Amino acid sequence: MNHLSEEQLILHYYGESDDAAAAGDALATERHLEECGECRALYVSLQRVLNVVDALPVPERSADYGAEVWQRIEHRLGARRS
Amino acid sequence: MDCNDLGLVTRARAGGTDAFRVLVERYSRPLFRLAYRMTGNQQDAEDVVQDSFLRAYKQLARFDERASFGTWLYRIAVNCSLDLVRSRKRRNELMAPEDSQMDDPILSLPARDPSPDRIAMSGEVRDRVAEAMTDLSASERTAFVLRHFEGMCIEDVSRVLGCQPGAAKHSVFRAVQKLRRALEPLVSAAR
Ligand SMILES: [Zn+2]
Repeated sequence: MNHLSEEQLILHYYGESDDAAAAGDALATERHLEECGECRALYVSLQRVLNVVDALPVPERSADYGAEVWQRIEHRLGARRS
Repeated sequence: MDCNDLGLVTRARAGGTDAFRVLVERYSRPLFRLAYRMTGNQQDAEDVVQDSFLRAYKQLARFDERASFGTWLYRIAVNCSLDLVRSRKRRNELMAPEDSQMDDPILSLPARDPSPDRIAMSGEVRDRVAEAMTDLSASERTAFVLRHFEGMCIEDVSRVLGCQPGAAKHSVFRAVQKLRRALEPLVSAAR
């Protein structure tokens, strides 16, 4: 097996197989990652980058945010029946 | 009120604003998170949430009951976000041609309720991640946000984007590739 492409590694990260027909792909990819230090290093760097992206904060909205939104839009809903 | 989306949509279509209100209360917070990931800006995200519900209400008659209301609403929110980002870009280009990222408020965000991850993330790292996200194209950013943060499958991502699954997959690739190029030096330096 050749080295894994960046695309294959990204697919593997998201658990999507490259080709619907190739169900053995995930297994082959995993085996290659176990055996090949080069690809493993690339995969680890990919994981690290995506972990950092995951940590980007999203400001919280309180539990009654939905009620606030409703108050702001309620009077503007009339247009549908025009 | 305990009722599934479809039942609520049916009642809202018949003019039941109470039913629509339940949908608004149910989806406002997830929609805000999506809109924030898409726009990188709290005020814009707030606007997107409101505009999305207004658009959804107007288009309720066009909703296909075999589809998921959530996915349909997300599609509307993504489109609202893209419209807003586009108009902001145009505005910025008119005002400051070379400096369109200057006023990205994500850079000055106070996290209200910091989780351990947020504490661990230094301001500099956060800025770089936010910047890398703004450097993605509209379709890359959308595909990435939906696949990565919302955990949607490629099929659903392509439905939201209105493109073929192959194209959606490709947008996810390009997004991750760009993020990796931009952020790799940062993560390897940190360890
Ligand atoms: Zn290899």
